[in-house]
Amino acid sequence: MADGIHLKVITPTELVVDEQVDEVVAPGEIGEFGILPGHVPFITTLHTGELKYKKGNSETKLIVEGGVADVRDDNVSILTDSVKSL
Amino acid sequence: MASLQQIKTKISSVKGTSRIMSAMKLISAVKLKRAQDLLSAFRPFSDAYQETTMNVAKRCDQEAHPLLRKMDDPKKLHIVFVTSDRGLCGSFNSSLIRKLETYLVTDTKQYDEVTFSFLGRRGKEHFGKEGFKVANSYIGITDRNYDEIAEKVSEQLTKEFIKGDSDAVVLVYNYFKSALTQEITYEKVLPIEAGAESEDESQIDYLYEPTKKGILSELLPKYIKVRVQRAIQESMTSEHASRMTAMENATSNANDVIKNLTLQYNKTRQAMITTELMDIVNGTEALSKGDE
Repeated sequence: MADGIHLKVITPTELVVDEQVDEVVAPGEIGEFGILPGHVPFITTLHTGELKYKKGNSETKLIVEGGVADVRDDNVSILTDSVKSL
Repeated sequence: MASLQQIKTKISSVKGTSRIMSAMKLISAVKLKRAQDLLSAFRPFSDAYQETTMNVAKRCDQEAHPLLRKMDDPKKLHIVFVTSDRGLCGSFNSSLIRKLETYLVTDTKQYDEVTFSFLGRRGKEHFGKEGFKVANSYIGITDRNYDEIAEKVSEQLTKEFIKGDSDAVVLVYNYFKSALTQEITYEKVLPIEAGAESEDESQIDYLYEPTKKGILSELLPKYIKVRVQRAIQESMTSEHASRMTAMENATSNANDVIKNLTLQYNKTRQAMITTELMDIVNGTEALSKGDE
């Protein structure tokens, strides 16, 4: 299993995040979910809420306003209308 | 031969035109920069959205959502034609119109009915009178309202497609390749079909949350909007690029004309002086001959 997940957070006006991370936690339609490497293909709509991702020991938090999360082959694409950093 | 005064007037009028054109070029350059920034910010989003949608569409059968419904024998075609409102932008509109005209003659035979949506006045002016059904026409699309317009257009396209008033929807616009090249693009957006490039690495179906239906009805209509917006942005950026190039060429042509006219002016002036001198010399010679 390849280590790490490639996370992309994209809005219509900006490519916010495009990097290799270890873990992603996102606010799904029916509750928060976590993604680790090797996750099965998974797609969900998002609620407005906190998106967290870990890389080594550092954790970053963002606020996403709805959108879609697409998880496939250790690639996570978060397509959202707007993102605010905390 | 034109008189000195005539040439002078001509030179000053060409100079005026050249000044206007170089000003237009500068304005277009500024607008191009802005449009290009917006476009390059939007492209990753729209590409990612398209990829996700295609991946989902690939794993769904046609019955999963009405926007995936593919007709065996499509009869009604809807063309979304994106042009500019104003001219003076080289072959930007004319080549697109010509392309669509040939397309209408050769490739739309299987369709009984062709409906148009015009985004931009030039397309409407050209095809509006030819008796096609016109669903929409928007004029005055700027970088402030394209979002709203894309929303309206896509909503209508989606509604119409679900109702069965159209069986296929295509987008025709200029794709912005670079400031110097724009590419005429003809894209089918509805029904949503996964491309033939089936690298099919994994045919494992997605896990859908909350439900497959919920995801599809969220993703697909938004996808249409993203596509329409992308087409509008590509076209706007291409328009400015095209106008900039056209004005650049026009300015340099005007400068050539000015150069030639100035040459002609100087030649005429010289010829006049020579004639006058000859007159004087002849006159004095005649006088001095008379004295002898």
